[in-house]
Amino acid sequence: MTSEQKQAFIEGCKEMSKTGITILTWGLVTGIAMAKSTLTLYEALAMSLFVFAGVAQLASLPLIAAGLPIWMILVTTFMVNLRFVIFSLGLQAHFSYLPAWRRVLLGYCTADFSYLFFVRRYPTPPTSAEHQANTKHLQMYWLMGMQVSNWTLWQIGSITGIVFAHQIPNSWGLEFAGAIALVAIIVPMLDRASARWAAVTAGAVAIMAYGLPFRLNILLAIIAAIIVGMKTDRSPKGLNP
Amino acid sequence: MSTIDLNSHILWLILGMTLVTAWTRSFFLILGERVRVPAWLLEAIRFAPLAAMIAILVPEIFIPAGATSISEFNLKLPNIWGGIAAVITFYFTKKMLSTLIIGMAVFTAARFLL
Repeated sequence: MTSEQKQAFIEGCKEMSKTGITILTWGLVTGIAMAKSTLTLYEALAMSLFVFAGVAQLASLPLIAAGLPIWMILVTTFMVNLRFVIFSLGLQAHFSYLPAWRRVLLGYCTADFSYLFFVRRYPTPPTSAEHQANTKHLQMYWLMGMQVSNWTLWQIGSITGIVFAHQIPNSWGLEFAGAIALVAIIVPMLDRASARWAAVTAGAVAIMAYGLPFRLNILLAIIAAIIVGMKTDRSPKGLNP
Repeated sequence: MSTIDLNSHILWLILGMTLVTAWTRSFFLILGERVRVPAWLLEAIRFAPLAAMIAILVPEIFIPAGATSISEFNLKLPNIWGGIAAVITFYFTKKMLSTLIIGMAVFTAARFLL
């Protein structure tokens, strides 16, 4: 890493650590859920370290407990992860030039928050002139900094939850802390009318469609929010949200 | 839970979930330069991360734990009051920690009072 790349990487770490409490809280909640499931200690640790997808992990726990076959749980993982398929379009526009192994690794490590903060800072893909000048891959190092910070904070929360789950009483209602922690991420994003309309739509659809399997309510909420967001968006084309 | 008893069935599952997650997260990225994402599509998906967060959060607040639909909604749900308190606190303080503390305090109070 050159010093410029190192600096971009460190800035990425800092950007993500501003959201540290939210990530720790979600990690903790997920860790506790895994420890209280049918998984053993080491299975829970392995799932935390390798799968690195909180919503998919939580969705898999009741299915594992019910003894469903592996392929059914994997289909569920795919369905629950559909939002990432949409996000990968955004990453593709920025990073299609990288070698294949880097693209897969970069994609795998880009969870919700990394993608969110990345597109907030780089809403449009680089022009061809910018791409020519991009010999230092600073955007990639910035994203990698966020990923490393996100992964580390998530594992600290999650492993703490796995190890101490049985010392934490259910009566604390800690699951709800994860929900509150998301408020601090979402509220600053509601800075324009179109974002507020999109948010209200997403919330309403997510609730109406809550009964659907595979957490398809998330996908429907995204599609509905895109339609309403585009209709209500008055900002000039190409400007960031 | 203290001995190392890794069930091979579960290990295959964990490996599979890891690969599926890597696959979904790099779904279009894998295609590399063979695909050009049109500008209108990039415009459209700007709203996707916000909507995903909302779709994960809102049911946690408005739907009781274990319920499967909104029909089980009622105002005695402590989540709603905790959620409202958290939004208000964050709006005024812009601080994560105070949002978490006040949100949880109101949530806990509502659980005992309602």
